[in-house]
Amino acid sequence: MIKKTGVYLLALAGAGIILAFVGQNLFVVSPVGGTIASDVSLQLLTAGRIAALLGAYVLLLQLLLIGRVRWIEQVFGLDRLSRAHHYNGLAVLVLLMLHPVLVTFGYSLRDDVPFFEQELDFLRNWEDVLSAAIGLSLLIIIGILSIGFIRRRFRYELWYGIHLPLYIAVALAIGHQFEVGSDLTLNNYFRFYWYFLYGFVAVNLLWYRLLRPILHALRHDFRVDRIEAEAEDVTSVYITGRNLARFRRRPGQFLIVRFLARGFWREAHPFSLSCPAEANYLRLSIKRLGDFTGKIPRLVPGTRVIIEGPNGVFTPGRCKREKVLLIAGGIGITPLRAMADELLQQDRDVTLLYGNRKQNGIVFERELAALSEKGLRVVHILSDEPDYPGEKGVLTQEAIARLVPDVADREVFLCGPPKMMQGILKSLHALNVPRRHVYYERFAL
Amino acid sequence: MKKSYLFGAMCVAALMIIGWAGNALAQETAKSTLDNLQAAFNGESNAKAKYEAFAIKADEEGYKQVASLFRAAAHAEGIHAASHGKVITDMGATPKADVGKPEVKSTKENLEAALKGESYERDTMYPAFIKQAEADKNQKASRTFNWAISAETEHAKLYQEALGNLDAWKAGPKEFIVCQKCGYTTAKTDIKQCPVCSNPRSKMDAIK
Repeated sequence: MIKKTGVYLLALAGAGIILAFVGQNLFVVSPVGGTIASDVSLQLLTAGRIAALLGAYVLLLQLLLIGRVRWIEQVFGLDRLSRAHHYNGLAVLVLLMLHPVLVTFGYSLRDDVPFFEQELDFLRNWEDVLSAAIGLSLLIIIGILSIGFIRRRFRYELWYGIHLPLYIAVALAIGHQFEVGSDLTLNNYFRFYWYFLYGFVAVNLLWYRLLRPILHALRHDFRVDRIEAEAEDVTSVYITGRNLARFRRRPGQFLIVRFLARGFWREAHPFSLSCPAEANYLRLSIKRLGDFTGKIPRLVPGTRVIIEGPNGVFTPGRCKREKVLLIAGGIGITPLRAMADELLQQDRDVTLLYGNRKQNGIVFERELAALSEKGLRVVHILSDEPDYPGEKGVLTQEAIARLVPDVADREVFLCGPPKMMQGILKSLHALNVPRRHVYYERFAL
Repeated sequence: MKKSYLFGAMCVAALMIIGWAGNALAQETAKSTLDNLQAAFNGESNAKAKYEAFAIKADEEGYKQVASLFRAAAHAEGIHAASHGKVITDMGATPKADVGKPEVKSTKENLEAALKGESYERDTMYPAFIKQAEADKNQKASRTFNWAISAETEHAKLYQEALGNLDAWKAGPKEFIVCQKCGYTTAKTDIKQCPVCSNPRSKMDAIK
């Protein structure tokens, strides 16, 4: 909580400094006599400058949010950060689109030039405006492609590729900021602040997205050890490496992995660890869901692996109560399977409700049976198996109440397909489980 | 999310309406501001002629850098005259100036006269004009006066500097940067943008 407040305050302070600088620039540097109160064109220009500066600021924030920056990620969790990234992206678009409109309108009013003539003048005669305009157009295109219903038409890989030109867009606009941003050209302190912001984001991105994974790869020499069929359409990939004990990870966390093999190396994908933290290997249990995951069974032992992470705050570390309920749907079992050992070692009362379509879809059936001998209560629920002697159907509110009568006393860890999670969150709420006792992670990033 | 788009659109619309309303108000102007504009137009036109003559004299006396400064200042005053003139035309009147023959003395005396003129404009004339223009809500007049006063302040500083160490202002010529929009004048040749009107460096002239 304190950490969260700290990060929020840091972000707000960053924006606050911008407003403070613009404010003092208005009175210190801008036209003598401070005519901003009466000069509408100056008001428009000022609004345009603020839109640009805040827009660039939230754009940098946007890069940090999704940059796997560990000190932020470990406070919020990558799934929540990626949602924040989505909304923040809208702020970036709105602010940066307002900037040219306000500034052009301000100048056209001041100098009595028609709007579009002024716009053309900017593009033709002002240094770095054209490149910035191209950058903004790129940004708008990426933004439009990110709108929900359009985004869903793309494969994950294509989607990922679409985002890369964003870095070009940012680069195209840098000159514009330093050459014609009057707050930057006229105030050395502010210019240093701006350099600092860019430097700060660049260092974080370089380290967490590039250098750290490479360093980990060199230090631990991660390699695929073996591939095992786990259940229908589910394959476990065992990864070994040097000094794995020093690769600090918590059960419930996930890795973003890139297999360095033909047909694999271009894409990095997030997968939950499905083994306890103390295991001397890393295990990812992957269900065939698309092109990439379909190729997993063809991985060859010995393949090098580049790993980003571990990421995520969906771990038993957050557990405060004696009694715990784990709810898994399908392949959502992986992080919960990893957590089970630790929760049992802590002598907690742990129940697992595990929903699947069919019996042959149950992942880790034997491991779960072994865990139940150590005290884990496992209830399988099958929806497409009419002859199954155990629990049938889906996890409704009624089913949860019946199977776990003391659910309101438990902390709940939930992982499964989005629709199922939605339904269960509602049921839990109806069953008086306080929100703060429910932990879940969205699969899709 | 739709809300935030809507909010953004409303903000833009609101700003546009304020802009048009302000513009319309500015059209209705008091006669006194027009008189002030004519006076300023006349003053700037005379200053331009005067500085051009001073520049020739400074060259003759071997004060090459002072000559450059006078040329830059003359260029700036010309820009101010044009800027004032445009506002006068927009108000439906015709700019009028009565340019007399400048009285040229020694470069030192010319600098002193120039400094005196600029100081008067900076301290007395333009502040009164700006006050009147603001009272009349004439944004265009207020702006052109503000631009002029900013430049005159710089001119006065530069003249003062030259007077303080006249011998050092011989070897030249020296380059000055003059903003094409507002006439801001500076010796800082690495300037990236006009601090007064935000014009980019590409729209500022280098005068020697």
